[in-house]
Amino acid sequence: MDITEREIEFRVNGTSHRIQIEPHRTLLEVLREKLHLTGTKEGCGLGDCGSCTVLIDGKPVLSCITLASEVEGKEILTIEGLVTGDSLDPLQEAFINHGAVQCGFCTPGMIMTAKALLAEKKHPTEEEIRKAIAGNLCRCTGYVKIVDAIKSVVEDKE
Amino acid sequence: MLRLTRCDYLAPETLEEALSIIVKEREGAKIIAGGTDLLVKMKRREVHHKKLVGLKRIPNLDHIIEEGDHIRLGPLVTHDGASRSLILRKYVNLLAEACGDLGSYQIRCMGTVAGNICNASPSADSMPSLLVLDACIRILNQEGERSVSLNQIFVGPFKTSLRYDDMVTAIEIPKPPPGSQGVYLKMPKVTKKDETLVGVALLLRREASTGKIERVRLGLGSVASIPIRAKETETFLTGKNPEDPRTLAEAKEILMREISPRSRADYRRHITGYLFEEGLRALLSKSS
Repeated sequence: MDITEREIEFRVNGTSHRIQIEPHRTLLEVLREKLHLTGTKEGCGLGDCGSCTVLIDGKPVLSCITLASEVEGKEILTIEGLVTGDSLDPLQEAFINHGAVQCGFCTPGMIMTAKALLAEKKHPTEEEIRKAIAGNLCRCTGYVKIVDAIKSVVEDKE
Repeated sequence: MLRLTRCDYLAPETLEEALSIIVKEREGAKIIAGGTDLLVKMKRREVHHKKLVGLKRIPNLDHIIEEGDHIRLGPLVTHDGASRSLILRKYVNLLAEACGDLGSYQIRCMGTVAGNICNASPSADSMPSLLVLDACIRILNQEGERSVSLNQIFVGPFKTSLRYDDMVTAIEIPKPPPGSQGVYLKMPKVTKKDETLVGVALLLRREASTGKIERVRLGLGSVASIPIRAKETETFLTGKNPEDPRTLAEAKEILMREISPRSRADYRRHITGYLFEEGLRALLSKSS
């Protein structure tokens, strides 16, 4: 079968990229292997665990089951894009301060999902926070400190 | 890294162009909407498609509009989009609720209602609501465009009556009669984001003067090989007083005969009866 590479153009963390990809590559593969943004993790690879969550035009999506061919013209935000200069995002600070990180593997996805929630809803309730991160699995923390960390960012805004 | 096997990707700019590709390629090409089911099946090597036909470059396929006595959803409306739609919230809130409570946040933002139909899972969460709302789907193929009732689409678990060249171009939902109240309740298998064990949608209209049931629709997910309507239960309930405990008990008996869950059958039956009763109670408290 004759399959040619496609050229796609999209923005990642504010920077435009125009790259050649094979049509069956996922966004996760392109982020990690072409752009070397290895903050986005592969857990299950099948859309169940949320580790690969990035934002596309502000919405949380699973980059392991997103075709890179489909992000043409879109704005992608990954965990690397949350840092401004030397300052971490308030969510990143909160995760550190609350001990919401243990092995750390779920953390980028968890923070990106929380970022989407907070952009959409300024003052989510604890129930809304829990519902939003239901698709981000953490096998270390038991979630309590993660929820506390996200809540603290909400409270700081008040 | 878990990778897809090699395949091509095509991005037509119109529906007609998309149609001509799937006609030309026959079974070799597959339309991809949200991809949340399709790409997982491909990664698991359960299916392979030589070419994927993406619709994302075709403008305006994620519209939700009112058209006279209907509401129309484009084929790329996501569950997240449906759950936020003011039009759906106003006329068919049970569908908006079902879409807002399905899977995970990410899956809601990616997966589409039309894709949920085409995937034809017996447990698909938007189906019981769409069935009680008498939804139709618009289908475009080489012979033209037609409307088909949703209840004619499902033929078995993950099997539809759609042909290789059939393309869903819209979902049409008649606005329910004024005064109708609807609800969708579900029980997931384990945690909140898991697959649905039983889903129950109810749409009810009571006579204003007597309080009797004038019109009722009952849709069920995950209790048969396809999403179903419980038509005998609906017929039985019509004209009855829904607050009479004997009516409720008899309706549940009929309902148990209409469902045919396979695995965990006793538990699913129990939960079906429970959710039906809870749903009816929720609607009665709204309408009284």
